[in-house]
Amino acid sequence: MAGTTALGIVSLPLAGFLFSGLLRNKLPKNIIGAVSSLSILGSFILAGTLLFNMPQNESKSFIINYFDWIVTDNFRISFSLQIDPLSELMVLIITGIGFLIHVYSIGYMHEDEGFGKFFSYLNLFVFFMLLLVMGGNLLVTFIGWEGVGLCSFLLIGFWYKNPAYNAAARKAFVMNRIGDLGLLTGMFLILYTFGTLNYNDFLGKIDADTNAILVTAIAICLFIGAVGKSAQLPLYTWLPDAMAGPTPVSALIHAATMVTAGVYLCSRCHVLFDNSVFAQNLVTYIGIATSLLAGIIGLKQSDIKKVLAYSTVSQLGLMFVAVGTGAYGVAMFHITTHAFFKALLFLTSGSVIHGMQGEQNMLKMGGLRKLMPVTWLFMLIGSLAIAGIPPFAGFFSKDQILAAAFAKSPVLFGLAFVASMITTFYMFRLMFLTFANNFRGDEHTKEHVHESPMVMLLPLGVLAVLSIIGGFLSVPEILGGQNKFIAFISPVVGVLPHHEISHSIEMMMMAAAVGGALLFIGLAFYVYRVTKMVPTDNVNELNPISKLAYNKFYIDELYDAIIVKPIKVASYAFYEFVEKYVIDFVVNTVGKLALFVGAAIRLLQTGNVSFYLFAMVISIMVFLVLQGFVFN
Amino acid sequence: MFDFLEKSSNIPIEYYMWLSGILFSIGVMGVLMRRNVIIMLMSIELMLNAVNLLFIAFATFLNDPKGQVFVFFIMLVAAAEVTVGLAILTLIYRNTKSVDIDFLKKLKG
Amino acid sequence: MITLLLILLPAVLGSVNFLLKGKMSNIWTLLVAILELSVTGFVLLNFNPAEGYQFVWDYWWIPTLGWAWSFGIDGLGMVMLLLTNIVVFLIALFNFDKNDERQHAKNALVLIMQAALNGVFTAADPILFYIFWELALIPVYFLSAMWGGQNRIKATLKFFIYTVAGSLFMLLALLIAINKGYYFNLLDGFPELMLGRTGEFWVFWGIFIAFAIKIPIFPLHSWQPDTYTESSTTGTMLLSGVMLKMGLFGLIRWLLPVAPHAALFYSKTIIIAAIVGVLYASIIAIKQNHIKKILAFSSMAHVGMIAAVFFTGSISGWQGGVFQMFTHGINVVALFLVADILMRQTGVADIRRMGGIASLQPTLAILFFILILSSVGLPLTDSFVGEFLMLGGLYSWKMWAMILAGTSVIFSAVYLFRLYQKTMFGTTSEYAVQVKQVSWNEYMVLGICCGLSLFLGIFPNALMQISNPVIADIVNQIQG
Repeated sequence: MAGTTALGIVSLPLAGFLFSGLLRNKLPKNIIGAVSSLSILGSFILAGTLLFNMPQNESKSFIINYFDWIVTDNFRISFSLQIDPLSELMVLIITGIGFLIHVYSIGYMHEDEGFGKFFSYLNLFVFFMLLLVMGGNLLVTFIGWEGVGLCSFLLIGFWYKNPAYNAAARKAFVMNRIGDLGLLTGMFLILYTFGTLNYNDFLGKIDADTNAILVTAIAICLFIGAVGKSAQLPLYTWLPDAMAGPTPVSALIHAATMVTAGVYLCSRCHVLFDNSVFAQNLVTYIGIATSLLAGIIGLKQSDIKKVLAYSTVSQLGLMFVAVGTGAYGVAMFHITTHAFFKALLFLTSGSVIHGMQGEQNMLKMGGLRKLMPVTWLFMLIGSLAIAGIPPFAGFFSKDQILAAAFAKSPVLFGLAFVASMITTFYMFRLMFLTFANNFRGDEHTKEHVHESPMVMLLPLGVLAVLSIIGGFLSVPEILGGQNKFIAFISPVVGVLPHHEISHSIEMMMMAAAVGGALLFIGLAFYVYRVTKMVPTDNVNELNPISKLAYNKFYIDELYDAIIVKPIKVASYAFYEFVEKYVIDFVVNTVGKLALFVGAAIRLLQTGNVSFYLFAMVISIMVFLVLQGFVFN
Repeated sequence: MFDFLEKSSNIPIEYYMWLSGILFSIGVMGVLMRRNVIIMLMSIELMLNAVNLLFIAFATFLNDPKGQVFVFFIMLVAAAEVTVGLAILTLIYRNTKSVDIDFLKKLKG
Repeated sequence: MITLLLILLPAVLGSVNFLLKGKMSNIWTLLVAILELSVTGFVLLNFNPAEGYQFVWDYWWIPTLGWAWSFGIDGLGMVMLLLTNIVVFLIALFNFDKNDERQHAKNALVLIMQAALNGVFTAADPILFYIFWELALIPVYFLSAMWGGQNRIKATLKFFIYTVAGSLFMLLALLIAINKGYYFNLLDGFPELMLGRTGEFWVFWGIFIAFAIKIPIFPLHSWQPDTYTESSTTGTMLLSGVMLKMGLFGLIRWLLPVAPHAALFYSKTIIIAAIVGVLYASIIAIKQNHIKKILAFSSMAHVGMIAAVFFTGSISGWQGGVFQMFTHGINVVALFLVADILMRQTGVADIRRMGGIASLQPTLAILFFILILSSVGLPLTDSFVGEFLMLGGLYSWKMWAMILAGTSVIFSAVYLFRLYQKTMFGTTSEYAVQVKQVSWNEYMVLGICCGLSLFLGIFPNALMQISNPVIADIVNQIQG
């Protein structure tokens, strides 16, 4: 029963993909859009039915093996799906938010001639993402892992006539693949040590006695995969470039779902991290470093989508901080709330861009509050949520991350606190630059600015509501709640680490976080609303630190110099020099040698008969001598 | 008269070998050093006859008739070879108007 | 008996092509190819993977020398036969609407090649193997030299001499093995030759050089890019699709069983050379612009990994390698077909001059993309299964080998996606606007290849169950 449901959940988006893909030029746009969206809704409903039938067995999971996929003499890997609280949670997020974004896209992509193609790609993406989270072993997850990378490529480069977009798409795929190599190494480490890739099987065999180096190695390898997929240092530069894709893509893939795959994987395999302090520290450091770096860069960006992209990277960093401190449940909770408000933010920015006829530069916006009031309201809700103002969703999840950080080390808490404040500041910078004061664009655009159609506003509304109330899924104890969410997934991800913090300190932290956020909102208000400062778009006027931030710390240029250029040079060198002069040199020398020897011997053929006779005589004499004296 | 035969069979075999060797060498020198094709053919005949002489000498010396039989074969082959050689020589002369071997260099590689 | 039929049928019926002309010969060739494929199918249905050699034909040829006419089909041979006959069928289908100069000769050569290839894969006597090996070279030489690019004479001459030189070493080594060791015939079971250290050394290197040139393994590869580029598409398809698999097949069938100790001793060197070759080819492919050259280097990268895996001694690695031989054969044939379509219809070979074809030919774009994905090794395509098992095999040997070979996975994404984006995406170039509808038979070929790719990606066992038992057997005996 659960088996068919699981299969249904995964198959509906696949069917939608085939439907939209094959019939995209034959049916009217609305039907394509509707069918695609309904297939996702169908999956959501099916997942919902599972929610009330959660497995109660010992491992708290249903595992359904469909058929043997790869069978060799050494091992046997089957195609299996796993239903447990963690996968159920991810499925609900993916299909729920996916459905909303599909509906939104019907409006957003309405003018586009690749409408059907877009929806088929979106459905394919959902299919792969579901495989990723529902996979019962690492290899099925890997199918989804690579598959979402593929769909990301297709969707980033959706408007494929533009070479810059194509380059961004390729960059995303290649960087993902670098991470995938780490994931593959981890998979082989697991496969050849434990003989299986099934989660329940190998995770159960790891405990404090297992070889520490092995556990650390596996954890790091899996984390490398996560770094690639979830855009952490050093493999994060693809995410801002990925903003080349249509905004719904950015919302779905690069905010709510695909990028969370890394956090998901680490949470599912948390046993590895629990038993390796080194790996946990690594995760924490990379997470916090990424969070701060991305935040600083986001402070100086003027493209509205780029700000949100860096914000995503930064929030993902905080999720990894949670993972690193052992608070996997909190990380998953933040994934959920982040999905709500980040999707909301991206989609509202999409509304803004749509209304601005495609303009994405905030320097040309302003005063949109009066022109697009509903959009303004939604974006405000999203911004408050991400800033962590209660009772919005972000407050509850972020606060628990900060608590977990504090439990590990006060310095870590301080850094995470700074990252949160930076987040608040640039989000409201975005708000004020876009919506406050007066319009800075040209008259022509101003006339056409309009509020989005209902089909786009409805999903926004749902997301806004979720951003407001979503936090109440898991109210921490000190505020009187029961942490229901955390309880829900703790069978899979384990209980939260025991905090040594007293209640009073925790209350103080909360107050500090909220207070700090309000302070920075006020600061942003002052700078951008009151003094009406507009960031310059002339790079030379910035002070050195701002210049660094504006130029993304030149990290793209760095990668280009130390990786891309050398490989290109090597490629050229290999082909022009090694192929032609070293290897062919040897081969051609052999040929030339044959010719040379031939030319030398040819000198014997003088054409002179006397010489031939002479040679014959000499040879006979030599033979006779040899025969007579040398060979007795 | 019969003591002539006796005396001649008392000639030591080395004399015959020396004679045969010198005749053979003269023949080889002739083939290698002379430019005239006719002289070369005659030198080849000389070489063959030198070998004939040696065979007969040894046949007598060893009292074995096989040597003399072999001489017949050699004389047969010599005759055939001279025939063909002279025929070729005639054609060469007709084509190049000379019997100088240095003019036959068309097979130079 | 059936085995002999598989070999003689295309040879005899193929020669009939010399009497036909143009389109008639195309139809005839396609019929022969389908017939051959059905015979293969019949063999497949009656095949039992658990048994050893089946469909055996074994008669003495020269008893004093120990040579025999011995043919047999076991699991490994079955997979290769399937590959050969499917590829030739695809080629016949591809050529169906072509009418080049001396088309009938081309078709005849393709079928004769098929006969020779079938012989290579079923021969159980070493000298017989050698004969068919050399025989297979001749049709390909003509296919490359008579129809092809500008510089084809020079390229094919180099290819021919290089390959023959290698084969001579192999002949020498085989003769040494037969005479110095003991006569061996695979039908009698695993050849356990007591060759002694020096004997095995010479035999191993002699045979290995021939295969290393054929596959090719760095650094004996320099004939490959030029030959693949300058040869006609039919020739390239046969070369890359099946002929190079002869080399890989020879590794596991003839080289490693005959000289296992030497193989073990030199395995590190050879694996390193192969992996270097993989990386070398992948890096070069990144900056190439001639569409066929990119595919040639890509092919070299893929098969280099297969060659490396065969020296690791891992059973699952070997099974993945054999599976990958099949998938690579099908994929590369389809990719070269696409390259041929693009080159013919745009008139240029430089991918920088193409562009934006996806908007003109969406179906071609989709099929091409599926093939690219298969080459890149995306899960759910067949190449992924092979690649996964091979990397696992390399890992079980040494982890650094796996990581090094694994970087080729990253590079392949770079150059293959670059190829696809430069030809299909971007603005439509002046050359690209000429691209017309692809003909139905070419669509069929591409469709079959894409379908096979996805089918085998999801159900690899359909193929692997044929070869797995035999491979396990061979590995166990080599290590024993």
